[in-house]
Amino acid sequence: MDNIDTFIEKFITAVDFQEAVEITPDTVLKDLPEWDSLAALGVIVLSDMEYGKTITGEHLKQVTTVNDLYQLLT
Amino acid sequence: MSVAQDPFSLSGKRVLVTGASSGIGRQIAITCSQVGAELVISGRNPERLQETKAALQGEDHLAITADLSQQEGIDQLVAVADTLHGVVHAAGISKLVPFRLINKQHLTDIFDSNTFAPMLLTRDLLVKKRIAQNGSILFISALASHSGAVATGAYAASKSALLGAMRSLAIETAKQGIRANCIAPGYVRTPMLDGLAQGGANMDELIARTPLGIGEPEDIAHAAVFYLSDASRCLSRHYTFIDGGLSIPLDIYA
Amino acid sequence: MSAQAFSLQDKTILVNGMASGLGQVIAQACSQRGAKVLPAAQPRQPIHGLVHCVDHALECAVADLSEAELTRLFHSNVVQPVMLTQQLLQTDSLAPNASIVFLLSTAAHMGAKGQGAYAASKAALLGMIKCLALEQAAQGIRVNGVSPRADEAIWPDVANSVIFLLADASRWITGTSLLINGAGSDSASRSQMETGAAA
Ligand SMILES: NC(=O)c1ccc[n+]([C@@H]2O[C@H](COP(=O)([O-])OP(=O)(O)OC[C@H]3O[C@@H](n4cnc5c(N)ncnc54)[C@H](OP(=O)(O)O)[C@@H]3O)[C@@H](O)[C@H]2O)c1
Repeated sequence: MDNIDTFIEKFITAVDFQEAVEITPDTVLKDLPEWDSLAALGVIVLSDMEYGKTITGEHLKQVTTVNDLYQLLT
Repeated sequence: MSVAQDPFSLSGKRVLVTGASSGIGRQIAITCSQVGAELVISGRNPERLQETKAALQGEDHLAITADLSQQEGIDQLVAVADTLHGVVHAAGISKLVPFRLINKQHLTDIFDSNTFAPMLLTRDLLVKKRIAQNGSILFISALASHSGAVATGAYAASKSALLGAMRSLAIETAKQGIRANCIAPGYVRTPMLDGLAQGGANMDELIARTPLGIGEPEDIAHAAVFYLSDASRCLSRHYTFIDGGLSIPLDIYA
Repeated sequence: MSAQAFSLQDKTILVNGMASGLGQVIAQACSQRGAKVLPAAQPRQPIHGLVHCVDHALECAVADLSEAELTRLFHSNVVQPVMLTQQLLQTDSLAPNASIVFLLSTAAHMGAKGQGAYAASKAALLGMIKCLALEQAAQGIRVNGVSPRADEAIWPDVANSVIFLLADASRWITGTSLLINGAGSDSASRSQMETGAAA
């Protein structure tokens, strides 16, 4: 199972940040300047392809931080 | 012989419909049976396939459970197909994946079901001479083949591949009078569309852009009947958008 | 019932250019499928289908084309059907969910020597079809075309495509045109299909 650092690396690839951002487990998703529908879709696909978990946009809305997401997927 | 046969009727014709366990394929099968066709229907899920069979009008229909991404599945279907006057390839899968997350597995999954299955099934039916003279082969593509919406890279590619395949096939089968066409739907109310919404797409916003509103499976089924019937016997190599006008203002031919 | 979707029962169809050979075949086919066919609009008679069959041919290399000929051709093939459509819209003569079908030609889609003026007049209708389809979609009015090759033998098949576009079976189809190329049923249409196939 991926540790949180590996997860954050994959998260950064999935979201495709144009401007480098520092992501920590406490980063709040909604505060990310590039958090939009395509970014959310990237996370949904990451969840499915890398962690074999099907999540929906509704699940994502209930998630606050990067660590919450990590807990949800792993 | 008193009344000439209605050119829009399918009576006396045997039609194979794949993807008949759900959505568009299911409705195509039902509508074809209502205009007189004898059906061979196929899908993966046996329960839902039987439900479709029960909804067909008339007797003598055949239901075959098969996964067409596997050669064994294709073999099973071809073995029982007998003589067909029409084939509708409605089986297909879709999944939204941003281009940067596409991997080989995703491409293989999408192309196996959407592109290779209909091409290989058609090949085997032709080689085994299962398709009658003046038969009609219909592929179900998607507007995405030309519009290439966000995160449809693999799906759009798998569907535009059908365009070239169909055009080449239509020339090769013309001397037997066998026609090949493709209809490319816009947004149609089916479980697939629900799946896209689940997968993170904002479908309401997309559907709102369709000038005539969201399509129903019946709308695609009626077009399928036209392409299978003798009313369209002079039409081949078509790639027709059936989309409630969604493609009209797009730049897809520019 | 699905057979109903391909019927023209209870529909009034106006055939513009009914005197022409193809116009007659289309009018007859529509009435056989249950439509009431009119050659011209009548007061208080809502129209469910409008088929434009006017089709004037002109074979002339662009280098030899006169302005008068070009103008005359555009007037008969474009201005007449478009202005008639406009008049019916302005007088609310078209029923909600009416279907309008323009007669195009393969020439609208494919180039051929000597067809410049004719092809341009038919391609002009393609542009008109798309924009009118968008403008009228809110009323449920659909606008499409049929593009047959020049061959009297396929007129009954052209009529069947027109019937499909007029009937409720095509209620979600708008802004498009159906190419009626003969499907390679004879050597002429087959060789046309094969040209350039491997390029
Ligand atoms: N709905 C739309 O808005 C839309 C728009 C454009 C194009 N299309 C196309 O229309 C077709 C039908 O779509 P739909 O909306 O009706 O989707 P759907 O409700 O998800 O149905 C898809 C059907 O394809 C079958 N299928 C998929 N993969 C298969 C395989 N490998 N082997 C055998 N059967 C397989 C499914 O079988 P099981 O369910 O039994 O597994 C099901 O019967 C698809 O090709 C789709 O791409 C749909």
